[in-house]
Amino acid sequence: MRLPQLSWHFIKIGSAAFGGLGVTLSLIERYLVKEKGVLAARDVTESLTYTKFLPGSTGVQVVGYLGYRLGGWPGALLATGAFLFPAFLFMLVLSILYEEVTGLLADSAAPALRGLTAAVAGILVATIYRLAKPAITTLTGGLVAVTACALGIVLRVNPALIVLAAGFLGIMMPQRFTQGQSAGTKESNPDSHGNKR
Amino acid sequence: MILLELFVYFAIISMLAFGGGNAAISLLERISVNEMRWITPQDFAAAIGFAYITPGPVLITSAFIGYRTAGFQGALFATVGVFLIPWLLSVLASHQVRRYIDHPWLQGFGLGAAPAVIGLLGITVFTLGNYAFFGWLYWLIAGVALVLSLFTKVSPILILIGGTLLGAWAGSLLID
Repeated sequence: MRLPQLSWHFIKIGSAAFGGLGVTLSLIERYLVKEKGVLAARDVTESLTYTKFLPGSTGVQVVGYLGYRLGGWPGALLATGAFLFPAFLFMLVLSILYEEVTGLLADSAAPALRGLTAAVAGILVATIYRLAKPAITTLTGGLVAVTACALGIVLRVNPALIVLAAGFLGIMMPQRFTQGQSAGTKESNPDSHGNKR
Repeated sequence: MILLELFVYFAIISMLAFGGGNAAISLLERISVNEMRWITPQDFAAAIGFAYITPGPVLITSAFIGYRTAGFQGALFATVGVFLIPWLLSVLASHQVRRYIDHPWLQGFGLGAAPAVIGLLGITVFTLGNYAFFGWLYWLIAGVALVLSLFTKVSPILILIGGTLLGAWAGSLLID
């Protein structure tokens, strides 16, 4: 993907990513996986896997990770800059209009914000489904996903620890995650060569 | 001097934000309100509200704090400070993972971790729902958003706008 095109896509993603990471993922999935086909759903999951251990904003890290994949260091820089530009601009305008906007928000924003959040939740569930389809192909995989979610919600276990534990499970018994799905690993190989373009 | 101070403090905050941007909010508050007294608690509350109604990461709050402290340049230094190091780390991770992607351990790790990462997104849905699901109308909005994004080509942007408008309307119904 050429760099101007890459920047344009991430400006679009950055201007519509209301509600944080969930919508960011869903937009990346829509524009770059489904429409352009320059990334696979696996790549998006991979970017989440390896940025989970790193401190800082996950959205920016996913964009940096995938930007590097699409265009090396220049790609990473442009993708992230383009992704952050609309947010920065919006925030700057709000900072300048601060006094007026605050008064306005206090009265009417809560129900609208709830509606927005509900829509984000719905979109995120659809994104989870699309990411899960290629990544969760066995019963063990499904159990790991459900357990991870439950441990996080009920016991508030640190997400990095959960990912680490699941990763070690994968190293110990990789076949439990690919049962009858050797095509799955083959699929990622042309991908890794394809990206050396 | 103040610009350098903004940059350094925001960089430190970012390096302690294990678990993503939301994990850093309390630290952000402690440093910018209590310790450095860059902004007031009311300012901070408004800033978080703004971060939720603007697109992009929640840590863009830094631009607001930077602006209140030192104008446009302050906004720039704070924003670069809060994103630079995590961004650098993620690009380095992307680079290293590419180099060793054929190693069986990394392959196995990826296979096991992928379902867990996807499961963890469920926590986000849960948190969002906790805030949003204030009545059946909000459940309906989420359901319609899910169906539209699964089975149609309707743009997510339109779905978000629709959800916001319906939410405002539902709110006026519940209050009356």
